[in-house]
Amino acid sequence: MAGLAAIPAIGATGRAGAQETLQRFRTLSARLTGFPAETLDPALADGLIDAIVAAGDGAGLERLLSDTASDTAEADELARRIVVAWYSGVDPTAGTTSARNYRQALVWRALDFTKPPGTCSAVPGDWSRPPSPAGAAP
Amino acid sequence: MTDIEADAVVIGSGFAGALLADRLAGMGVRTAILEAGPRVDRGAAFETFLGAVIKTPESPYSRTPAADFPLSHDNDHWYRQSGPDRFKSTYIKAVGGTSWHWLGTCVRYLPSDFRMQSLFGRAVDWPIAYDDLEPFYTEAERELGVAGDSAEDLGSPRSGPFPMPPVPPTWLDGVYGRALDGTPWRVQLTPQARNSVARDGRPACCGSATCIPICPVAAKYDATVHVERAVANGAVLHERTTATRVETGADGRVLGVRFDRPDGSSGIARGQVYVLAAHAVETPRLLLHSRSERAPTGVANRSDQVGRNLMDHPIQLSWALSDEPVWPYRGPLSTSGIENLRDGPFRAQRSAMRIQISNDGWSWPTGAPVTLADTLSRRGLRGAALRRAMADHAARHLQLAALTEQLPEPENRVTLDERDRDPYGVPLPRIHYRVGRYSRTGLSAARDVHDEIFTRLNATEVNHSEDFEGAGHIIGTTRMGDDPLNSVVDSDLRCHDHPNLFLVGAGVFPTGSTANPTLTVAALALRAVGAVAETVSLQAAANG
Repeated sequence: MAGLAAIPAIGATGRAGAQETLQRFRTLSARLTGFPAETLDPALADGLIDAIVAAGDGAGLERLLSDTASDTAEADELARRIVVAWYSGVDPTAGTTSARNYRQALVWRALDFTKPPGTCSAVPGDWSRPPSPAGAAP
Repeated sequence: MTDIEADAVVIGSGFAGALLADRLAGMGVRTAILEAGPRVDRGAAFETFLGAVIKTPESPYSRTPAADFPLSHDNDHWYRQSGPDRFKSTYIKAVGGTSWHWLGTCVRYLPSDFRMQSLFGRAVDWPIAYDDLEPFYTEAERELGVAGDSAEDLGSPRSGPFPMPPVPPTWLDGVYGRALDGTPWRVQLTPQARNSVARDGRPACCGSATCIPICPVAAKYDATVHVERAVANGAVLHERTTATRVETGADGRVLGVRFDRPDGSSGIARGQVYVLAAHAVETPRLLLHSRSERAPTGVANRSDQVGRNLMDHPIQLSWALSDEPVWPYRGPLSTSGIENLRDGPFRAQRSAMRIQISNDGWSWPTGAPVTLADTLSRRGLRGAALRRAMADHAARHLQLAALTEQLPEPENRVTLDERDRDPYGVPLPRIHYRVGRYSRTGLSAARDVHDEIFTRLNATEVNHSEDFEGAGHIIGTTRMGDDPLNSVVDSDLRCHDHPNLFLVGAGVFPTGSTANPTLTVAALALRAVGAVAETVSLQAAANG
């Protein structure tokens, strides 16, 4: 969790502080993405914080986390990058992804009528029917 | 030196090479397969694809300097393009060849496709007719394992049933079918080499929806099926072994094929008969590079036709937003099409079209659904509103791809770029390519048809790609014909200039049709088996 400690403004030293920052980031992400905080993957969250800090946007992130961000285009764009990263699984700074991030991307949970590519349908041939509501994600 | 001795030397292990090698080996012919690329580990390749940021057809497959290949997202990689248009179709080098990332569509040519000159005054007729190939189409459907509706009339008469029932159509196919009922556009199930039931030790399709670039469960046929059978029948596979020169003798016979390997080893593969199955760019590249005093313009090139008549199926890609959910992004990437625009008297003026109804939404044109959050978030959507909009928007993604016919033109060609060479010293392929008026008019007609179809579906946000897309169908470059003065191979796929050299694959097609080429590649390869085997026996008898 190098990323958390690397946000000086947060002052989150030690494990407890890092955990707290992570929680605040997931809460922020929940508000931005529309998915409950407890369902947002912690490892992905941590990687995202790392990426944002690496891009030199640690201070901007701190303002978003503490809800003191002014209503600027810059703050909105950072928030938007966080949204896109969660939905696409692509690191917004490095432009990289991984098989794990791709599978975990929120797009596959938002599109509750389908599933991540490369996974089998629940019932082969179920693509002939409209999706069953029972398959909807929480 | 690590020479290879066999009766039949097959260069390339894609659809044509693998099928032919399996048949020959099964007849007791000592067969060697030379493949420039490596074996592919399906699971590892699939993970590589998932982890790739740019998810192209090539993304799962490893490239090395010794076995490099063109890239869909960078048309200047490997190809040296001299315009005026870009050639956008690609291939890979691997055991099993480009069959790894094909879609699986198995439509036959129409009888009229073989007679473009006689019927429409365009291009040339094939030296064979549909009826000559029909038995081999049926055989190819059995070999590849094609699922289809035998009662459906697709314009190509059949002598036998499909070996498997159809793959279930998608809900989206049904939406098109209902909307277009009573219109000139008939939605029909697409025959496809994809298991609808477990067959040949491979499972039924479970809807992974990644047919391109890779089927994770091998429900989709690929040529590794026949590579494995060939090896079980006694063929010897030499992977990472690149053919770099074809040597010919004074009597016109091929004496051997030189090869090189990335470990620095090299040698000569010798046989009674040689089959080049390296697809329609690498086969002419090898032939042209093999020029010598005996063959000053290249091997098999007395006609000066090697490398010429390069074709694709230039695609009009169109996409739109349906007014009702159609639930795309499920099932195989395409399961239905509109086949009744593939023929008609208009072919004297403009190209016909085959419309593929795509199940993968806006993936091809926009990268959706992964890119959709970027698009919608720019409209200011966040939180629950964004989440709802994602599902609502993506559920209505429609996409059509019209494949048009491109006429053979001698100036559309593969030559050698002497300035740039691979690690073995073989010049890279230089490509001159232009999509002519015949195709351009067809592409324009396709836009109109797509507009009308989308209107019937009450769709909005209609988009058309501004320029053509590549179909991934590399055709022409070693054309078949009866006259040695203007063609490279005869109707048995034997080189006019070399009695023991055969060329297989889509390179031999005299014209391109609108049909995806694979089934015709397979049928022609099966048809050539007799002539290749006979040549082995005669040669062996002469030597014995």
